[in-house]
Parts: sequence; C-alpha cells; structure tokens
Amino acid sequence: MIFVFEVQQKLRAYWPILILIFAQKKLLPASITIPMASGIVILLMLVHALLFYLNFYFYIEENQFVIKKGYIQKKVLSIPLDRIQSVNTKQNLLQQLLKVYSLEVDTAGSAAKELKIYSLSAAYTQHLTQFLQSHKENAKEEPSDSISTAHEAKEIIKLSPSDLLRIGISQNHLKTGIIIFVFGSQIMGQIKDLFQEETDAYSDTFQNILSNSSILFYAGFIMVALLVSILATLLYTMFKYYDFKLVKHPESYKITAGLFNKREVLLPFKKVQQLNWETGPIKKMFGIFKISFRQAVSKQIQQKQVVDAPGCLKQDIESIREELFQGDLPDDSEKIYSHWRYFNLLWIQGGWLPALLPTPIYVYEPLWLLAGGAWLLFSGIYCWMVLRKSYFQFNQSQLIVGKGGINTQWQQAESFKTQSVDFRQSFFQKRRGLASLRVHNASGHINIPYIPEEIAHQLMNYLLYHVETSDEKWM
Amino acid sequence: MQINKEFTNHVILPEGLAPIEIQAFEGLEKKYKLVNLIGSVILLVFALMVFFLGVHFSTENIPSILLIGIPFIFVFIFVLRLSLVIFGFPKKGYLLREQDVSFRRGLLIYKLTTIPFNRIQHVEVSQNMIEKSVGLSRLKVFTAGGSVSDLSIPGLLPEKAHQIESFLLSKVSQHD
Repeated sequence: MIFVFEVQQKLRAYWPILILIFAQKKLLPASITIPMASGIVILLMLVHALLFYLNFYFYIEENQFVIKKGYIQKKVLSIPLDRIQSVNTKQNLLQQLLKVYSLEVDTAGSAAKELKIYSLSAAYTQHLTQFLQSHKENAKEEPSDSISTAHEAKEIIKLSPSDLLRIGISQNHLKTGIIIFVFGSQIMGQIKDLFQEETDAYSDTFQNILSNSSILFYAGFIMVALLVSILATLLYTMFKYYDFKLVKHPESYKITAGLFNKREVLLPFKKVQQLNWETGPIKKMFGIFKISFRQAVSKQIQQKQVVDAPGCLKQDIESIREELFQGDLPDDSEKIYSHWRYFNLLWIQGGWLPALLPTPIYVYEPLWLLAGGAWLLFSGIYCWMVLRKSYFQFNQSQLIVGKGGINTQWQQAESFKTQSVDFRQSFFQKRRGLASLRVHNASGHINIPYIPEEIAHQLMNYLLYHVETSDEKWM
Repeated sequence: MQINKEFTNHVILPEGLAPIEIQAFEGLEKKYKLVNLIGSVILLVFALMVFFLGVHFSTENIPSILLIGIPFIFVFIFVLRLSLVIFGFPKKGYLLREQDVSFRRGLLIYKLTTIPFNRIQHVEVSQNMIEKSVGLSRLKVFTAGGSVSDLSIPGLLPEKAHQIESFLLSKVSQHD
C-alpha cells in the first residue's frame, strides 16, 4: 500500500523563517539598493519555499520508507523499514507556536542519510513515529505492545526547574566565561569601529581609570565577569534541559527536553556504544552526576551523536548501567592504576612545555619567572591529581576507565563493541616495560595510559578474541 | 579467562594464505623509503624556494645569520626526517591472521593497530602521485570507529595490495 502524505503546514512554517532570515540580513552595511535587494531576496525565498513544498513527498512502499525532495535536483532517499533505528522529533520556538514537529529518522549503518521531515502536525507525527517504530519492533518478533508505548515506560530521571538550577550552578563555568569573553571582545571591537570618536574619548577616560585603579577594581571586574558567566550557563542549562525526562522503554530510553528547542530522542540500548558519567567538586555538593550516552558517529553526517542527561543521582547511574550493559559489571574487578611515570608525561606536556615557551620574555623581564614557576607548581598539582584518578577495570564483557583532574570521569564500554585496538609504546615506556592502549569503538575511543606491557598485551589480545568470537551486533 | 579451545588465530602469509606457526610481521617493499624521501625532498625544495622568494622581495636588510641559518635549519630538519625514514623503515610491517589484520610502525614511538575482520566496513587500494611514480600502492581498511581507527598499509606492490584486498573482502562478506 502506498500512502502519500502532503505536507500541508510546510508553507506556513517557511513564511516566518523568511522574515527571520530577512531580519538577519539587515545587519549588513546600509546602502541604497537594500530595499531592492531584499525585495528580490524575499521573492526568491518565497519561490524556493513554494517549489520545495510542492516537490516534497514521503511515503511508505513495500517495506521502504521513501522521501522525495528537490525541484532542480531531484533526490530520492529510501531506507528499508527494518534499518530504522529510532525516530526523533524536534520543535523549535516557531514550530511550537505553529504546533508542528520536525521528524528525524535515525538509521543503522555507515551510509546514514538525512531523513528529515519538517512541519508535521502533532497527529501525523505521533502516527508516523509509532508506525515506524512498531514496524521495527515487529520485525524483531517482540510482543506487540509497542503501539501503546506508555505501558512499559518507567520514568527514570525527571528534572524540575530547581534541579536545573542546581545543575546550572555546578556546570563548567570557565568554558562559558571564555566563550563570553571571546564574543564580548568581538562585539566590543565592532562597536569600537562604529563609534570611533566616542570610544576615543571614552578610552582616554578608561585609561585614566586603569592607571589609577586599585586591586579592588580588578577584583570587582572579575566578580562581575564570573557572575555573568554563571548566569549565562544557568540560562543555557535551563533552556536546553527544560522539563527533562528520561523514560525507560523495553529496549530503549526516551529523552524529552527543551524550552525553545524541544526535542524527543529515542535511544535504543543497542545503539549506545559507550557510556560516560562524571561528577565534580560542586556537583558533589549537590549530589549530582552528569551522564552521556555515546552513539555511533556517522562519517557522512558529521554530527555529534551524544545524548546526555545533565544531572542525575548516583542510583540513577547504577540502574542505567545495569539496564544498558548486558553481562556483569566489572565493579568487583581489580583496579589497575596508571604507572606513576604517566605523571612525567603529563607534567612535561602540560607544565614544562607551556612554561618554557615564553623563554624570551624571561630573559627580558626576570620577574615573569615567578609566573612560570607558579604555573609549574599548579600544573604539577593538577597532573598529580590526574595520575591518581587514572585506572581501568575489566571483566570478560566490559571495560571501565576512570580519569579526570578536578572533575572525575568514568567511561564504560562493552568488549564486543570494540572496533579496533591500538597498542602504543614510546621509547621511554619500552625501557620501563610500560605501554598505553587505545580501544576504539564506533563513537570514539577509550585511552588506557601507562600500564604494564604484559597486561596491555593480554588485554588487547583478549578484546580481539572477544570481538572475533562474538556474534552480537555492536549496533 | 576461559579461552575456547576451538578458537585459532594463526598467522597467514600473503603468498600462501595457509596458516603457519611463526608469528612474523611482513615487511613493506623497500622502495617505500623512496616515497617518503621524494616527499621530503619536495618539501625541502618548496620551503627553500619560499624562503628565497621572500628574501628576494623583501625591502629590509636581512642579517646574514638568518640568510644562512634558516636554510641550514631546513636542511637539518630534512636530514632528521631522512634518518627517521631510513631507520624507521624496518619497524614497519603488517600481519594477516585468521581473524584480524595488523599494522605496526614507529621508531621512537611504537604503534600497533589491529582490526578484527568482523569489524571491517570496507577496504580500499589507493596510490598518491608519488606512490604511483614509484609503482607502489596503499591498502586502507575502514571500520566504524571513525577515521582514526582506520588502518593504512603503505609500500605494497599493487598486485599484492589487490590480493590482500580480495582476501579481506572475502572475510568481510563471510561475517555478514
């Protein structure tokens, strides 16, 4: 049977987008031809939108999901229904106002294609999602209670605004601060160019302030910058993870979140290649962990397939780990720590090299040696913290790696999901009988630095043996 | 760790494709050193050209120390690279076993990469310009682990490269 759906709301969705794009173009330097140019641009966009809408079809035919799009270059994307892994939906602010959804179909295999349908009504979306997902589950010969997915669902994580507040405060503010600083200086530069005269006058007064200022001023400035960055991170967290829910279904997790950009992601257990979770000093105070599910990275779609929960409790992590990973958890296995010589490598890379780089400055201004020394000291302490936290645990079916400096991070992956293994040994490591391993999986890799050579060989051989004898599909 | 007694992973040599007890890595064609050599020479010539063009067109007076020093540094780096290529060559090799393919390299930093056959996504034989002129090919093995985990065996005679390619493809289709 062939169903042909015509996307009714598509035209409506495009109109406001045109306005948005047009509004952005207004930022270009003003010139006389702007009204004419923008008029032409709008016309072109309208035509494009209309043509796109008229030429966009999707349907299901003979166990294939087909999308036909394009008016100049006609594209036909088709995917067998049983290669559909999950169906995700998104709603940006505009779509929320118009009550339409974007549908995205995730597929298995390296030839992943962009199967996206914009502007579907809520009813269509639900029907299509359920149909596609139920068809896949029926193909696996599971009991067909999958139509009413609510039955087997169990809410694992639910984040309220106050949870998000705590999470936002405990996030990594340094990164936000740097981003704001970079953006801020960019904008400052642009403003400066626009108001050259005014800023000249201001810079004189500013310079006066600088030269006459005291430590108090700088401290105040840093405080304000810190507060701004904390606020920005808070807002970002609240908007991105608004009303976050992680719900357990028979063979997958469903995550819904977002305020201005609502998304619904279905994450089949099989798709998860690696699980990362972490905590930090501030997070510990609130008792929260951050967990992220790493999926296969497709070479065509260079997207980061990371689905994460920004905050959850320790027991949530434990239950997720038990549900996700088949086989026993290696928590009882011996923890094998990285050799202390790993510190040498870390300190040279992170401490000595950056400290020795500005040597010319030391020659000119010996006082900077103090700064260099301080850097060596603090980087040494940090590297020591990293060394202490670096270990791995292993049993037949899983590998866990612990790492981190100020934050503490764990990575867990199942042995049969390994794609390849690298054995690395530098000249210095060989002399001490040490080596490092890098275990690749479809979502990235896991490093195990500075372990005894013998153990590295054994682990590598065992992982290869496990992969070569395992029939399990890694995705 | 319980090892299944029926599981074997003996070495396979490219010519015979028959299991042999010795664990030996197969070396690359000696001509491969030429490939790196030619590449380094081209780089050196290019660097010197750019430098001298810059000197020629510059309006400032360049102290003679720099005039001699910088080309000297280029040559020094070239010699360094040359010795790395020559001494590193014996350390390069590949290994075909019943269940996986490996490649090793490295003088100061030794690296061994192994890819099990049932994780291979696809295989490719290619030649860059220099390799073509010397008459060598490169065998690339791709997995799903992103381009970083891919294996690249250079310095193979085209015939041998294709032989190994078909062997690997047959193993890949076996597992599908």
